[in-house]
Amino acid sequence: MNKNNVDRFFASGLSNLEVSPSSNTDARFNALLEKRKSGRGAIINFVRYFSAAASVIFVFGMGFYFHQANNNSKTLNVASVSDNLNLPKPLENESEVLNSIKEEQIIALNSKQSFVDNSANKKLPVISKGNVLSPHNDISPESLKTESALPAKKASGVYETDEQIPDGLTLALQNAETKRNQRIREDKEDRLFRKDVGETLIVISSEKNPNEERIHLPELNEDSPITLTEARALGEIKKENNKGVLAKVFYQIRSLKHGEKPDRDFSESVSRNTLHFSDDGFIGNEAKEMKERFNWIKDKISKN
Amino acid sequence: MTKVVSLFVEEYELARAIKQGDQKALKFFYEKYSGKMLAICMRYLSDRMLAEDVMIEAFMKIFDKIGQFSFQGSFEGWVKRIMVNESLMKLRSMKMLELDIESQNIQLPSTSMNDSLAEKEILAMIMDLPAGYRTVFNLYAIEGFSHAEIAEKLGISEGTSKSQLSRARAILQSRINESEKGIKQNFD
Repeated sequence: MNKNNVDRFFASGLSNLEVSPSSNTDARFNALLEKRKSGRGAIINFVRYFSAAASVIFVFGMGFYFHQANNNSKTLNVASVSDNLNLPKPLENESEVLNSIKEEQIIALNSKQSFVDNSANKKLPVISKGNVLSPHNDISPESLKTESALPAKKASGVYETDEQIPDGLTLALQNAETKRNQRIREDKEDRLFRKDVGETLIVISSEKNPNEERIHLPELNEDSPITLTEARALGEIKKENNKGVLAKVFYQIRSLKHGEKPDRDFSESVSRNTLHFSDDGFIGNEAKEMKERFNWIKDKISKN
Repeated sequence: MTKVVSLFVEEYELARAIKQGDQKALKFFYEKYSGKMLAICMRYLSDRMLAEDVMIEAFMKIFDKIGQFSFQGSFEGWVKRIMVNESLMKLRSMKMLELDIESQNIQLPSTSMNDSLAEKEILAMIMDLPAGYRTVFNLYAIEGFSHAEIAEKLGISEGTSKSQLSRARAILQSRINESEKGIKQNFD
């Protein structure tokens, strides 16, 4: 940038120039500063109060939430129990309550009476629901022996008697006890497999003879007849025995190629098997040829 | 170099105090820089009252935007830039930046400058310039902006900036000559 003389003159002349602002300007500045301070203070105060209020609301909110949650859980528990218990319906008025009490007392008496009278094959004094006595009547056993108090006899000759119905709580407890006993029984039955053996079974079977199938529980305890290793070895033997003659032949050929000696048992078995076939038939002829080929291969290998 | 750094350290301490809203620091900052800043504003606006208004607004803006200061470079330079920008914005809002783009070839006299002119007389010469001339001359000769930067800042072409500067120089040169003649006549 090329600065000429005029530029330099004015730049140097104005570099340190200061003009004092008027007192009015200073006052305006101070007033703006105070206003700014109060505004900033108001904002800070607002933030403080807001945060305090938010904290209080949060604490109350959390308290209310947990209170509601506790109430809900209690209500749910009560509801679930009442649903399962099948509690009897509440009676609407006092007379119904008294009637039901009378009915229960009469039923109790009837049950005693029937226990006594059944042996003598007599009529049982059973009162149906329609003949429930009024609340103010006497319910002595003598009064129950009246004709109206006798039980209704069905065509089959069986007297209809009301049994004392257990309440919902008793039923629920009985049900829970039954389930618990059943679970314990099942646990006892399955304990052998689930805990001691680890659900491990060894099945050794034969494709040719399914009747030979054997099931072992390995390493059950010291008296166990078989270990897992022994069972595996048994399975391998079975698998080997189940192989066809041709498969065995190819296996032996492969062994020979790798320089191993042929299995003596195998050659004996082959010769044994071939004895069963007559040379006249097709299979016998094939077996004979196969035997010749095998011997030829054997000779070749032994010469080498 | 060490002195410059220490100077900046003092400025940065003041800037940090302003950032924290220290009232004493704000007042100290005003008392320290208001004279210089008012001179800058008057160079651009040519009206003292207007310049004072702009200066106060600029100070408030500095207090609000102090968080944008990156503590790199001179704090005073940053404050000056804000003052200049505020002055330019004021000029633009008052539509005083309608520049005369007529170019004239003015031959500048090669006379030596008279150092006897007082600072306030020099300021008065600049303040008497038309707004366009004054603005370009201030930005180029005193603030040190290039014509490209001035063109971008004011939204004009570089040619316009150059022509405005030439005219401003010519006028100022003639004013200086007149002032010298007057001084000589007084002595004679």
